[in-house]
Amino acid sequence: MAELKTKIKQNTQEQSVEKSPIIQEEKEVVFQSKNFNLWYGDNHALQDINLTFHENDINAIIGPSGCGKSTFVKSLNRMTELVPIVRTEGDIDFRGDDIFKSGMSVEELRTRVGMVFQKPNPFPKSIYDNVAYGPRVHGIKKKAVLDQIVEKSLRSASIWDEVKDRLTDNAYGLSGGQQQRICIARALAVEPEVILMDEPTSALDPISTTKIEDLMQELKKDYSIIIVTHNMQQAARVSDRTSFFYQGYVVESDDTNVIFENPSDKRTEDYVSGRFG
Amino acid sequence: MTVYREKFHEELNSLISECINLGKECQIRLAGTVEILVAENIDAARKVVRKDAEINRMEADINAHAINLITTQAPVATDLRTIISCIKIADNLERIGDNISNVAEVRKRIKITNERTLLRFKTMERLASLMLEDVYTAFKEEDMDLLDEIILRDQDIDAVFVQITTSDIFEESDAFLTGQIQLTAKYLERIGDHIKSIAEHIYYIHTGDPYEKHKSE
Repeated sequence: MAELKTKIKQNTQEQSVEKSPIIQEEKEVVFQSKNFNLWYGDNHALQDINLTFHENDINAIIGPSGCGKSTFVKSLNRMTELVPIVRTEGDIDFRGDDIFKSGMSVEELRTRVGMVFQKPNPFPKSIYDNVAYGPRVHGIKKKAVLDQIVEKSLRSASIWDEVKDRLTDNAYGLSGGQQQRICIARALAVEPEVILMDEPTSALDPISTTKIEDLMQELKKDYSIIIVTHNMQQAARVSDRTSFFYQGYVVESDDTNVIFENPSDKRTEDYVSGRFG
Repeated sequence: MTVYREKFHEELNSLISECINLGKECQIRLAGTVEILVAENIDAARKVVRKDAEINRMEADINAHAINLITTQAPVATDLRTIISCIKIADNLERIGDNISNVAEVRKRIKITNERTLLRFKTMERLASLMLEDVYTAFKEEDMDLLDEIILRDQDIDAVFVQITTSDIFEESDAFLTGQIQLTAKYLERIGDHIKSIAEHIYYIHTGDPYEKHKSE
């Protein structure tokens, strides 16, 4: 069945290749990786990754454990550099500038490219201080300005109403879902352009997951989101584009509905259908 | 590579088997349709009408099974297309069963004796029967060319339908008789349409594209 489908696909391939750029042309490119390779010592973890992410899109990255998806996302704000044995080749352009060579500082990159992790990791401080931490590091000291940033960020992260009366409470006292939204608010406080999310809901209950997913739909109006997820239904629900990583390669990257309804590659079909993983 | 979700795939195969069984049941009934029309005794016709409930039950079971798989397994891609198409194919097969039962109802009302008309009915039955058999082969062997051919062959049944409805028999004054012939011809013609529709659903399972799109390219 799959071979036959590939055959038929090949015939229609030219048309689909022509169609995609027309839709994408309107949106500006945020990130573009060109033949990006990464090694952990001898382990060639990412191999010739060529991917483009556009403004105001939610991009999902899916793939089995160890396929390189988290490594790739961490490369986008140079977090992989924290591992001493990592070596990279190829380019990753952020807004047209190579993040490794253009002289952009890591601090500036990470300000413009925020990150939310798998487990909520608020600082052991008050809710207010958690969100105000980034702006303070950037030198904002005036209370009125900070108040404004904190409220705006908490509102954007859809948690303002739940915490507005207890901003001075320790963030650890919140539920996991609330803590994760505090972390999103903390990322938003420095007004990034892109938010990277590495399995942001895998430690959360279904209702909190729904809240984060709804929040992502709101955030995509102002930000670009790149999300790594193990939950394929989540990728299908929230993302505009999906890339499937397997053994360090990108097997297929396309509109999310194509990936989940009629993917071109048999491995993608088998993975999204849950035949392997 | 480790294979996962074996139980789901067993269930999916069992759903497909249920559809095939329903198809085979329709095939058996279809092959005797015109025989019922000419039978001296109307008991056979009564039996066919009664047994239609069995086909309806099989369709309901397929729908329930399909809904259960969608709810519990969140299928995507080919799996999802297969399940959705099973629901649609079962609906087509159930309607084929209805049409066979409707032909039997005609026998309960009247016995058609015009040789030429009966021969044409028999031709329609044979053409439909061969289409249904080939649709199964095309599914089993993933033969897209055969599906194309089956879809075209529906026109042959339509042509016999036109022959019947424009034939001399309609010049007869027995309006009840001509009315029943017209109905029978329409029932048999509709069976062809349903088989054509099944072929289109199978095309969709394999390619992910609606058949109309393929036709217009």
